[in-house]
Order: sequence, then C-alpha cells, then structure tokens
Amino acid sequence: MSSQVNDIYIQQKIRFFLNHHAENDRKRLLKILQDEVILLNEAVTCVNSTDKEALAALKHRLKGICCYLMIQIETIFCYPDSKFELMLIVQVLQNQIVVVLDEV
Amino acid sequence: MKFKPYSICYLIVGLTVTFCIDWLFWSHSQREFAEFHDKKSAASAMSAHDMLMQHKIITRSIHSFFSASMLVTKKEFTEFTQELLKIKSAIAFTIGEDNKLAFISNPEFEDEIKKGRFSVNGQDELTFELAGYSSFLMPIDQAKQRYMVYIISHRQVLERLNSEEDICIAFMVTGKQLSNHYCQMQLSDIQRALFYYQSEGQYHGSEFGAEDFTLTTWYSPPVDEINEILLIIFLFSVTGVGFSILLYLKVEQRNMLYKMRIETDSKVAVLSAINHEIRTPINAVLGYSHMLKSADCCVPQGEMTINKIIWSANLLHSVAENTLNFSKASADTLVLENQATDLAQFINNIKEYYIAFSETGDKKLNIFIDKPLPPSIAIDSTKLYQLITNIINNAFKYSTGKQVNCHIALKQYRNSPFLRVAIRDFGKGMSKTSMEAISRPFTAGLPNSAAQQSGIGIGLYTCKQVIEKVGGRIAIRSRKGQGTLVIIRFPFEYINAISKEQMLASETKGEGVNQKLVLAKPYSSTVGEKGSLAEDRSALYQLKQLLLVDDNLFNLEVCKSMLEKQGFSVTTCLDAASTIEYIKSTTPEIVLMDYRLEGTNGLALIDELMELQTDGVTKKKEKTTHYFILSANDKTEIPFSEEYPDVFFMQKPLNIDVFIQQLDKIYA
Repeated sequence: MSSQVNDIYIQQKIRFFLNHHAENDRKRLLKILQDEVILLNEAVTCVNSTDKEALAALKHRLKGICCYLMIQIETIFCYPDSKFELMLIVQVLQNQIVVVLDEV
Repeated sequence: MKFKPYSICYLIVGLTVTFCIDWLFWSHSQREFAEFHDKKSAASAMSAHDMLMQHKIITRSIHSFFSASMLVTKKEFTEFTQELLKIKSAIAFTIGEDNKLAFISNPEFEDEIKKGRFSVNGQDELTFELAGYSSFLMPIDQAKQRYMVYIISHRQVLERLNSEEDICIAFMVTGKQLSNHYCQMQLSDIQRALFYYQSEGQYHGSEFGAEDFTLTTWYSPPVDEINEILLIIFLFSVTGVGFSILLYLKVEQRNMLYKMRIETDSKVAVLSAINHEIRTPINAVLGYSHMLKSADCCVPQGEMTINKIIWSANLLHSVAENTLNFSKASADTLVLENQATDLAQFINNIKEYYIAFSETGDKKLNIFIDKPLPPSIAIDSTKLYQLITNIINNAFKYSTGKQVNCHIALKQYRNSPFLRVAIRDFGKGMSKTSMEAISRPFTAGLPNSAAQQSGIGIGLYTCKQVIEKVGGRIAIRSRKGQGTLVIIRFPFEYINAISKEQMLASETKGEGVNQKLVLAKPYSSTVGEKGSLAEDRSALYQLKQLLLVDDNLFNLEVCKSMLEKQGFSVTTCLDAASTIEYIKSTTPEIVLMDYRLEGTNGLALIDELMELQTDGVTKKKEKTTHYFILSANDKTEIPFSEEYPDVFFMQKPLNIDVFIQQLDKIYA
C-alpha cells in the first residue's frame, strides 16, 4: 500500500476512535496518545537494533496502542521485524496524530 | 529455480548413501565367503600335512626296523608292519633280487599287489605301478631284498576327502588327481564370475621317497545364498533409490509450496491494499443508497435500481470482508468473539440482506428453521453472518438453479452445542476446480454465461479457514446436475437469558424487566459501536471498585473512559510499585492489568498482590479480588498462563461485552 493510503487509513482510524468519545474529552485523549507515541518513538530510537527482546517489548507496546485505534498493523504493514520498520510505523502514527490534532 | 540444486543434493546424497551401503554389504559378503574358504582350505592343508607326516613316520620306522636288524624274518616284518599300518590304510612290502614279492604287511593284498608292474623310468630308477594306489620305493639294507615298497590306497584317501562336504579338495599325486564329490559340482556363470575362491599349495614328499604333490582347494557359496544376497542388495537399492526420489519430490513440493505461499502473500498484500482503498467508498455507496431508499424519493423503477446498487455494494463489501478475514486467518489472529445474539433477528437480517437481490434477480432464497429457537444465544454473529452470506452469495452467483434453500437448526455434538446451517442450490453442481477452492486460495470456478460476476477465489477458502479456526466444520457435497449442498457447523453457547433478566430486574429495582435483547449487527466494531448487554446490565457493576494497571498512559485513559461509562469506580496505576502500595491500603473487587509492565509482568505482579492479600499464618486468602489480564497477545502466547486458573485473560482492545460476560459468570 502506498504511504499516502497508509496515512489516510491511520487518520481515519484515529478519527473513528475519537468519534466514540465525548467531544470535550477528545483533545485530551489525543494529547495523551501523542505523548505516548512520542515516548514510544524515543524508546525505539534509543533501543539497540540487535536487542531483540527490547524490540519485541516495543513492538508489543505499539501493538497495544494500535489495538485501541483498531489499526491492524499486520494487514497494512508487514509486521515490523526490525528497528527501522518499527521506527517507520511509529513516525507515521505520530505524524497522523498531529494531522488529526489540528482538526480537533 | 533458486532451490533446484538444493533438492538435487538430497537426491544425490540419497543415491550415494544407497550405493555405499550396497557396496559395504557386497564387500562384507565377499569377505565372509573368502574367510570361510580360507578357513576350510587351511584345515585341509593341515590335514594333508598330518597325513604326510604320519606316512613319513611309518616309512621311517620300517626303514629303521630293517637297519636295526641284520636279518628280518617274514613273520617279524608282518607283525611289525601290521601293528604300524593298522590305522593308516597303506600297505608295505619288500621285493627281492628278481623284483618278486618277499615280505608283505597284510597278506590279504598279496594277490592284488602281484598285479602291479615294475618298470625303470627315464632317470634309471625302479618304479612300481598298481591301479588305485600310489607307491613309493625305498632301498633297504637286507640280504636278498633290495627295496621296500610303500603303497597308499586311493580309495582310502578319497573316503577321507569326501568327509569334507563344503569345499572342493583335490590332490595331484604321481600324475593322478584325487578329488572329493564337491569338486564334481557344476557352477553357474554367476558363481564362477562373482563368488569363486581358490587356493593351491605344493607339498614335498621326496624326503621319504614319495613324489611331490599338489593340494588344490576351491569354494563357491550355494546358489540359494547368492540369490539371497543379490535379492537383499536389489531390495535395498530399490528402497534407497525410491526413498531418495521421494525425498527429492518432497523437497521439490516444499519448495513449490514455499513459492506458492510467497505468491499468496503477495496477492494478500495487494488485496489488503485494495480492501482498504475500497472499503470507505463502498460504505458511502451503501449509506447513500439506503438513504435514498428510505427517503422514498424515487418512482418504483428507481427503487429497483437502488436495490441493485445495494446488492452490488453488499457483494463488494463481502469481498472486502473476505480479504480482511483471509489476512487474519493467514496471520493466525482469528478468535471467536461470542456475544449475546437474538437468533430470530439475526436470521431476519440475512433475509433482508437478500431482499434486494430477490427483487432484482430471478433467484430466490428460502430460509427454513427446524424448531423454535431460544430467544438469545452467545455466538460470534459477525463471523457467522459473513460465512452464511458468503455461501449464499456463491450459490446465487454460480448456481444455475432458481432456488437456494437455507436450513438452520440447533444441534448437539459431543456435548457441545452448534448451529447447523445447510445451504443447498439446485444448479449444475460444482466443477473440480471450484471444489479445489476450499483448500486453495485464489481458485475461482471457471466462468460461465450465468456467472460472470466478481470472484477472486478466496471466499470459500476463507470460509473454511475461519470456521476451522473457531472450532467448527464445513462440508461440501456436490453432484453433477443435482446441485450443491454446503453444511456449516458453527459453535455457540446457550445463555440463560431469562434468569439474567430477572437478576437485572431485582438489581435495578424493577426497571427494565423486559429490556430489549441486543441484536447482532454485522460489521460492528469492537470498541464502541456495539449495542451490548453490558450497557443494559451495567447497573450490576455500578461503583464497583476496579483497579486498572497499565504502563501505557494512552491505553490506561481509554480503558478508564470505557469502564467509567459502565459505572465502575476506576483507579489507575502506571507501574508495579504504585499498584502494590495501593493494594496495601485498599482492596478493589476487580483488578484489570496489562501483561507487559515495566520491569515485570502482569502474572508476576498478581502473584505479589495475592501474597499481600493472604494471611501469613493460615495461608488463606483474606480478601477476594478478581484478577484480569489484558494483553495484545492471545492467552496461548502468554507464558505460564495455564498455571493461573483464577486469572481471566482478555485480548486488547478491551471488549466491554466480553468483560461484562466474564463478570456475569463470576458474580452468578
């Protein structure tokens, strides 16, 4: 799937998620999500690419977030097996959160 | 082609191993036979040497006897030699000046000996010849007696040779050959060419007056044994070659499967991409079509067009859903998500789904229900809906018949209830290629004039994958000219809806005794779209103390928000230390925690919390808290999860329906 399609897909999923929460709560939740993804991005950036255990833990953390956003990362991306792929997905997610945050 | 040399290696290795083992067995057999021959040959040589030594000793004794006495009388000679030659069947006699017989060891042979003939050979030496005997002459120092003649009976030698039955022994002595019965045996070409062992030895008899003689031995194993060896080698070769070829084919097949899997994965990737591209526009088309239909803005002809649009959009939606489930089945992430479902309404939804088609096409769906259905059952209605519509869609698309019958019944199999759905069409029956579609993705039936519609060949395969992943079964019977019958067996659970309603009624002081049953909505999402029993029953859990533990702040906030909507009094903790501190001071009724926590995991933390809640002396639990683990992984992927029967495992995202159902079970 092209990166543009991925971006739109993720944006829609975030919007869909927010639609199920009270309007006054959306911005707060989105902020929390952004902070969490920033922390995750930092953790992924700092992790040693050969440390498989730490990478697995971070993958699991990303999977947890995606579960709530109903984003099936296995379907849209190949399941991230390397630090590079993990970073890529987290950054795509981070960017799309910013896009949606501007709308809220 | 990348793996071709790899599979050939297996073939080469297999053939080489077979050849080596054959060669080892052949060499071993040859060595065994050669050893047998050598052993027998050595024994024969030893025996011949012994015989020679005995005759040598006897002749020396007789010679000494003559040397020791000036005049030996006939009586003395006979007594002496009879005693000596009693064992060895040889005859000794002396001859006088005129070559006439003088003394003889055994007078019984006198007449036979007289038949013998003396002659002088080319070296001017006197010789004695008698048929059936070998003779040796020795000069003796006696008056009137010149020579002592020592003759050995051939018959006796042959008797001795014939006692050996397993090997041929042949003596060549004084120009005559003496051999045993074995030597007369006719050998086949194979025996002579492959299994023939021979040896020859020279023995000197001149030192006691005898001529030199040759001992020849040979051996060839019996034909039966040779056949046995050749048969074993043949069978082993056939097995080895066969096994090598099978191994080669197996590796080839594995390589082909690997390539097919790569191809399938690529197709899935493409399909997933298309799926996400088309899902939104399909939903838009469906939504606007329904809007137009309900607005009654079109004349009857226009309404038929809208119905056609709805039907086509539904078909496309079904293809998109198939793709999604196919991906999930491939990734092994399918799980059964049972929820309370009004079966009658569910069946009605299916009917409505096909109304549009029945109105526009010439085919009709008839639904038959076996007996009155329970008001509510726990079933994964989303997956069931997709399975049933997939099969009916196939029947509509590919069958040439006008009717499609769907029988629905509740059955019991091995104490487990299941929903049996039999879908039958009355078309031409399925082709062989179409039947393959159930076990091979991307195999659509050959298009015919009546069915030129969409079909990418994953519908039937996905049905089988989904139903097998959730513990059900699918069977297809198709007969040419009679149609096709597809039977689905889908697992479900009974729920005691009435008692639950009553319980709710008492809890909510009479409110909502006849609360509505939640209807299954196909394509509903997990988090928030569903109408659910949980909402109606949330009164049961109003202000129940719940501790939520997750090191992911976002997940924590989302879950908290969802649980608070249900009326729970939620407290959150971000790490293990704060959780322990909290438990020391408060006892929540429910603890819901993430499995992966910073520095520990959910199960280890539960162990610690349980210990804090246990009396150190009596080892009894002082406080009752129900623990739930929430993980992005399935229970089976969590190590040691089976060792915690009291802990409930749920998969992220938090599904309120499932959570409330679990609580219902606990508090019931």
